[in-house]
Amino acid sequence: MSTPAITPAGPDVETPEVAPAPRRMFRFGGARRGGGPVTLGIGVALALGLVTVALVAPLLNLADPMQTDLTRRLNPPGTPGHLLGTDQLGRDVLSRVLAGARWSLGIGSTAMLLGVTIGVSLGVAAAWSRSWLRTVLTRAIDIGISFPYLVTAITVVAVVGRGFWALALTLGLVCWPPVARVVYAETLGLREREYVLAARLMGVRAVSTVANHVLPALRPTVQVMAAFTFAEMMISESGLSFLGLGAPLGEPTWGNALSESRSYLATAPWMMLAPAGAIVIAVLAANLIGDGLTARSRRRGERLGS
Amino acid sequence: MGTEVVASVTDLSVAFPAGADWRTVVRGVSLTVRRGDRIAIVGESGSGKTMVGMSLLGISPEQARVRGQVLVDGIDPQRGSPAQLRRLRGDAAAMVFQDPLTSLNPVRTIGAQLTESVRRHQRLGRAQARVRVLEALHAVGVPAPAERLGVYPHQLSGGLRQRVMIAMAILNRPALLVADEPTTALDATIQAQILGVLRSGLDAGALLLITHDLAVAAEVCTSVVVMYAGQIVEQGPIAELLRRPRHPYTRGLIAAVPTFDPARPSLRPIPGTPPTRPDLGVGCRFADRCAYVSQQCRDTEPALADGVACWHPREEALR
Amino acid sequence: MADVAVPATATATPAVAPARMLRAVGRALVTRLTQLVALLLVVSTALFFLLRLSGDAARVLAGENASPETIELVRAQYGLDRPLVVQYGVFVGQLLRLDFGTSLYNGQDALALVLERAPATLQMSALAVLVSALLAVPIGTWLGARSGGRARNVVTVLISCVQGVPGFVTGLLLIQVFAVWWGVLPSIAGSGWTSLPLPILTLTAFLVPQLIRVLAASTGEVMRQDYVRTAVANGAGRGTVVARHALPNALLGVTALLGSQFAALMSGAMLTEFIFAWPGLGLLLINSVTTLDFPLVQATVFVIAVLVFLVNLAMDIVFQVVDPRLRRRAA
Repeated sequence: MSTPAITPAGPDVETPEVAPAPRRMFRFGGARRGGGPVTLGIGVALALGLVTVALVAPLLNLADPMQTDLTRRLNPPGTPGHLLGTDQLGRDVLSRVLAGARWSLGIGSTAMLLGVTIGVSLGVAAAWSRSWLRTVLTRAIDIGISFPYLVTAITVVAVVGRGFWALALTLGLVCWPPVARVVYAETLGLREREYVLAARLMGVRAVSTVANHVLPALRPTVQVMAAFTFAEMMISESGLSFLGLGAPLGEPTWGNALSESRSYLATAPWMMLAPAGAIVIAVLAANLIGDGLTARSRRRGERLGS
Repeated sequence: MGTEVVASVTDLSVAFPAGADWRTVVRGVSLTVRRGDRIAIVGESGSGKTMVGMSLLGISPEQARVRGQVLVDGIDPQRGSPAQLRRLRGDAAAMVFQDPLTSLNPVRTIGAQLTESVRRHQRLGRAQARVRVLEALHAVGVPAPAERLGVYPHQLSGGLRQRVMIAMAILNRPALLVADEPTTALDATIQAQILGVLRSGLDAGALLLITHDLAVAAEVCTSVVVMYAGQIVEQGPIAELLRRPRHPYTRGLIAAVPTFDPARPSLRPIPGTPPTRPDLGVGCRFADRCAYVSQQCRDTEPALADGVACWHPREEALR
Repeated sequence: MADVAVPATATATPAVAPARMLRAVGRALVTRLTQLVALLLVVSTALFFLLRLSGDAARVLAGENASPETIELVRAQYGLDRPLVVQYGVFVGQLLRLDFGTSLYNGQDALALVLERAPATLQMSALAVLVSALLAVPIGTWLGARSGGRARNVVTVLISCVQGVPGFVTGLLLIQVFAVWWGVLPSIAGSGWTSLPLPILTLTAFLVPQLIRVLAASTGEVMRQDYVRTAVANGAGRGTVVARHALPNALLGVTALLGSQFAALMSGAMLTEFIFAWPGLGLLLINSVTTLDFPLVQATVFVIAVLVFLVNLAMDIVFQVVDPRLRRRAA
C-alpha cells in the first residue's frame, strides 16, 4: 500500500477511547487492559500515601508497637488510645501495623530490586547469547518459572535463617524467573530492531550496545514488572511469615501479625483484618501502578507506530 | 447491467474521536450500486475508502461515528436489528479482506469455517452444506477442494488462502461483495489470478472493489470512484476516466504510474502529501497540491457535479 | 496453477497425522526429561550443601539437646567425617537408588512417608483447579470480550482488589465465616467430604484472580484479531464469536502460562494445607523444615520436583495436540 511520507492517520489506526460509541448491535474489538492515567494516578497516590504513613508513623504520638500490656488484651477497635484495638499481648494494633509497614514495604522493595536485577541480567544474557549458553539459560528460566516459589523459599530460609536481609535475599532469589522470562522475550525482539542492528554491525561491543540501547528500551517493561513483582513480594513475605518461616517471630511484620491473629479469629477479628487490609492496599497500589504503566507504554507504542 | 439497486449510500460520513474532537475520515460520500455492477473505489491510504466498505456491512470500528444513510438490500447496517444484521452479513453482503492469513481463524479448519457460514445463513444440513462449500471452492479455482476441507489456514499458500476467503464470501450468493485490497498482500502473478476469480466468481451480484491501484481497478471493474481525503473527487466509467481524467488528482494518479518512455521523467509523483486533518479548513482539499489551483478553489469547496468535484476540471485527454 | 505451492501436509490424510504428532510428543518428552534431570541435579546438590552449610551438620541432625557423644555417633553414622567429595559421591549414589534415608523424627523411610502424603495434595489440587476453571473461564472471557463500559471497569477493579487479598487470608476469612460463625463446615481435615469445600475454596482463591486476569487479557487480544472481524462480517453473533472463535484461541494463549499457574497452585496448596491441617505434601514440607528433618526435606522436595515435571510434561503434550500450528512444526 502506498504510504505517503506523512500518514494522515488512516482509518485503521487505533485511536484513544473517548466517549462511548452510540449503541450498536454488536461490536467486536475486545477489551484493553483497564488502565490509563487515572489508574496510574490512583496507584501512585496510594503508594505514596502508604510510604508516607510508614515513614511518618514513629513521629506520631502513637503507642509503642512493642509495648505489651496484659491488662488490655484483645480490646476492640475504638478503645481509647487504641484506634484499631489491641492484640493478644495488649499491644496496639494500629502502631504494629504501621511499624509493620516499614518492615514489609522494606523487604518487599529490597527483594523486588534484587529479583529484578537478577531477572534483567539473566534475561538479557539469555537473549544475547547463542547456542548452548542460551539453551542453558532459557531452560533455567523455564525451570524457575515452573517451580513453586514457596518450596524454594522455605528451603532457603531453613539455611539462611531469619532476619531482614536473609528474608529479602530469599525472596529476591525466588522472584526473578517471571522477570527474566519477560525481559528475555523483549530483548529478543529488541535485538533485531534497526538501531540495535546498526550498532552491532558497526562493531560496537555487546556490553556497550546493551547498556546504551537495550536497557533504556527495556525500561517501560522493567518498570511494569517491578510493580507486579513488588506486589508478589508483599504477598510472599506475608505468606512466609504466616507459616512462621518468614520474618523473625517478634518483628511486627504484616505476615507475622496475620500468623498471630489466627488463634483469635473468633474473639478478636480486628487482629487479622488490620494487617490484611494493609496488605491489600499495598498490593492494590502496586497492581494499579503496574496496570497504569502497561497502558501508558502501550499508548506510547501505538503513537510511535511500533 | 440491471437496474435493481443493491446498495445505496447517501451522504455517508465517518468520524473518529481525536482528543475532545472528531476527525472525519469520510465525508459526504454517496454511491449507488446496482445488480451486476463492478465498481472500484480508488484512493491512497487515508482516503477513507476502507471505511466506506466497512460501513456497508456495519463493521466499522467501535469508536467510529457513522452518519448518513446506508441501505444494503433494504437493511441499515448501522441501525438494523440483530436478525437483520445476521441476514446482511455473509448473506446479502459479504466482504473480503486484505490479509487472508490473519483473517482466517488459525485453529479451525477451513472446511469448518466455510461450513459455519453456510449453515448459519441457509439452514442446510451438514451434507448439503458440504456440497455448497465444495461448489464455492471449485468456483474460485481451488484444486481438489474435498481434500482441502480438513486443512488449516497456515497450511495453504497466500493465493489459496485468498481464494478460500473469496469462496467464503460468495458461499451464500451475496447481492453485494466488497473486496478490500484483496490482492495487495499477494505476489504479482497471483494477483492476476485472484482478480480473475473475482471477475468470474460472482454470478449476478455486484462487486465493490477497494484498491489503491488503478491498474487493478481497470482489470476488474467497469466504473470507478476516486476518493481523496475522505471525499469523492471523480467518478464514472473506467474507460472514459482513464482516457480523459478530469480531476487534477485523478490525472496525477494516472500520470504517476511509472512508464518506460525514455522521453519522459520516469517518476512523476503528485507533489505534497494528503492533509492530516481533512475536515479542517474550507475549500478544496486538494488545493495545496493542485497545479491548477485558483482562489475560488481555496475559498469554496467544489461539489460533485457531473461526475467530478472540481472548479476547473481538465477537459483535454491525458498526454 | 502457479499458486498450488501447497506443502505436503496440506493434503495429508488423517492416517499420517498421528505419526507426526508422536514425533512432536517425543520431542517434548526429551526436552522435559533433560530439564528434569537438570532440575533434580541442581535441587539435590543444593540440598546437599544446604545441610552442610547450616553449621555443624552432625549437630543439626542429632538435635538440639544431643550430647557430644551422640553428635559424634551421628557424624559417623551419616559419614559426615569423610571428605566432601566422597560424601557427595555417596549422596548421588543414594539418590540414584531413591534412598533418602529415614525421617529424623519418626524413623520411617522418608520417601515412603512422602509418597503416602502425595494423594491428599493431588486430590485437593485437582478439585480446586476444576472449580477455578469453572469460575475463571466464563468471567475471564466475558471480561475480555466486552470492550468498555461501566460493568467491565467495576469488575476489573474488583478483581484487582481481590487479587490483593492473599489467598491464605481468604482461607482465614472462610474459616471465620463458615466454621466459627455459622459452624457448618469444619476447619480441619478428617471429617469426610465436608472438610473438602473450605480448603478447595481457599485454594481456588489463590488461583482465580490471576486466571481471570490472564484470560481477560488473552481474550481481549484475540478479539482484536482480524479473523474475529471476518466472523462478524459473516454474520456471527456475539455469542458465536466469543465461544467459537475467541475462546479457543484465548485458551491457547493461556496454555503457555500453565506452567507458572501450576507452580502457583503448589505454593497455594502448601499454605492451604497449613491452614486446614490437610495431610498433604505441603504441610509435610513445612513441618519438616520447621523441625529441620533434612532427609524428609530432601525427599519432599524431590517428589515435588518430579511432580512439577510430570505436570509440565502433560501440559506440553496437550499443547502439542491441541494447537494445529504446533503439530505442523514437528514435521
